[in-house]
Amino acid sequence: MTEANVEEKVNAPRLKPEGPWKIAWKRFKKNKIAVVGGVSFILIILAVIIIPMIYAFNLWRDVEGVTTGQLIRETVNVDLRAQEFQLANSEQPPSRENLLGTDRQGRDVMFRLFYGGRISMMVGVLSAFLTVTLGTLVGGVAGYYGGKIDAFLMRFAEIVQSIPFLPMMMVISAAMRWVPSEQTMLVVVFVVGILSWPGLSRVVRGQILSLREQEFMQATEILGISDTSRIVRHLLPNVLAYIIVSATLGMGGAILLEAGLSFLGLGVSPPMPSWGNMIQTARNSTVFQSYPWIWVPPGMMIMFTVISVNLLGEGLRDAFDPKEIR
Amino acid sequence: MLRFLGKRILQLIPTMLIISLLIFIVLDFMPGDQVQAYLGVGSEVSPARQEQIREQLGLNEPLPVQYLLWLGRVARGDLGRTNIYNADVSDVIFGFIWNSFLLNIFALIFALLIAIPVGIKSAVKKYGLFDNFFTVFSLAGVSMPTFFFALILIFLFARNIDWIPLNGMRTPIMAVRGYESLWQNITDVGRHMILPVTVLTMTSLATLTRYTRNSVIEVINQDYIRTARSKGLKEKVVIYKHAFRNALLPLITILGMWVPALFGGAILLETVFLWPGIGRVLLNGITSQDLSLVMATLVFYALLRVIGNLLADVSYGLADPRVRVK
Repeated sequence: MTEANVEEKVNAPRLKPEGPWKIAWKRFKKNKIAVVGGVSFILIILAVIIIPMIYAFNLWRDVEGVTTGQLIRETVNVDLRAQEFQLANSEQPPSRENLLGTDRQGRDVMFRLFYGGRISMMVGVLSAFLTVTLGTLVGGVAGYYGGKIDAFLMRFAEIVQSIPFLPMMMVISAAMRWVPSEQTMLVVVFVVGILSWPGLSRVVRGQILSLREQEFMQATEILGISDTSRIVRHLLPNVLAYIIVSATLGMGGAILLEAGLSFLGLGVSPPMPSWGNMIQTARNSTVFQSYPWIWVPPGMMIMFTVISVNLLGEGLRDAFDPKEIR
Repeated sequence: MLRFLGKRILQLIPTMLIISLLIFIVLDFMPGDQVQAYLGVGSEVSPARQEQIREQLGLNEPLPVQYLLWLGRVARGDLGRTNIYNADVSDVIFGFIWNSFLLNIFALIFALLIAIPVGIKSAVKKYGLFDNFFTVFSLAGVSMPTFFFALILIFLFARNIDWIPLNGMRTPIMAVRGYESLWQNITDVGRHMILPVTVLTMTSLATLTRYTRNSVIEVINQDYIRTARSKGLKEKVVIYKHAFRNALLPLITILGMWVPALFGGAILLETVFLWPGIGRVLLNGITSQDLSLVMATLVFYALLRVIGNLLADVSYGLADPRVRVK
């Protein structure tokens, strides 16, 4: 090594070591398919937020004597009244006024598609959130405290995992039919959440068990850092990658489950639209054969959304996985 | 091995007890009157007599006592009566599972026959055209709601091909008059199976090809495969004899998971195709609030799941000597 070379090295600007998040983000950006998934997922979210608002805006704009304030308010919180204003001729095929035609009650299918999309996406997001919270909590506690608590919690997780998934969901939703239509969405979130946490809880537990033995955790013990801080600041960030990936993939699963339950008439109940209960109208043979514009678009939307979510989730998994070097 | 098996079977009992208790509690929240179910709809029975029956069935007892009474009846092989089928619950369940089994066994066989060669081929030429095609195919397969795929198929077939029946299990007229020959019976049911088996095969194909591919890829990167190649073995021998046998291991575990699916049926597909399987029984039970039927079906589902897990464990032990030693 020459003198100059050494000099160069010494004087080179000190590179800050890249954090794991930055590395993951870099790797994620390189994965074209995953980026496409992420972008289309964001587009779908924007569409289900904005398109119903455009409908509400157009409706209220024409109402006489509406003030600007009121117009903005009604646009932002698109309420279901907007949908009732849509009443036109029923079962109209797609046209310029109703881009996707109208349904049996004469409601605009396009509006319901995106408004229902809000519901389906909410179910996905909230169920994933509930699943992840429960899974992390149970797995974290089991892994951190170990011993009897661990044995008990993991036995419990195993039992919950042995419960037949869809049948149990059907029964719980059937038992909760007294919930008003607007809140049936929360019932779906509840049943998906309380039955799907065991998978993640096992992963989190396993991770925490192995992390607990590592030097940096021994260091926190010697430094006398409190339990809460050790869990929140030192353990959780290390399992966060798993949690994020599992939340993303879980969201796709929850959207599919909502669709299935609603199709059986045990999910989100009408008049509240959701992608699942819009497909349910196909169980009527006239609608099924003669008015495909009512039930095909929601199915397509589900497929499109779940594909994007899965691509995003798999991309994130690859990005976070230190073993996967490309 | 026998001790391992015995221990696992003994563990089944408490698991099943807890699950059935959980199901019992959930069902207690479901609307529905068991006395009505017991007597049959529309039967006129004096309130005094109804009260008497209520007493007889033990419905006035507190919940834990009711559960114990139920357990006692189950132990004697009495699952109760169902009024929607007007038969003993056990007869209904054992009558309908075979219909579900029929669909699922064919779907499983077809799916395995296609998935294994496809998975191996994808793994050998990773990221090739063939692999990429099936990657997209599986992604679409797991992202599309199965019932929606089924609806689309029916929709297309209803217009174009008339010799494939769209739903049901037998042609009504033939079934009522009685079949002329066994052959006619088989072909009739067979024709009705075409669409549902296609859908089931396609959906299971999506996960099975992925699974085979990934497990073959994992094995191909092992040292002993390199050894086999450097010995100068033919590539075919390396893949099919050395790699595939080891790649089978994880496949066996998911086959254990297939047990619940095989007998439990696909509730959503049975609904779409009006297939008289066990899933339809459950849905009918739920919608007509026939509690003893729902209870028994759910416990049956749970039992299948638990047995499936057990089989997965045991077969894993049989296939992999390393597991047995532990």
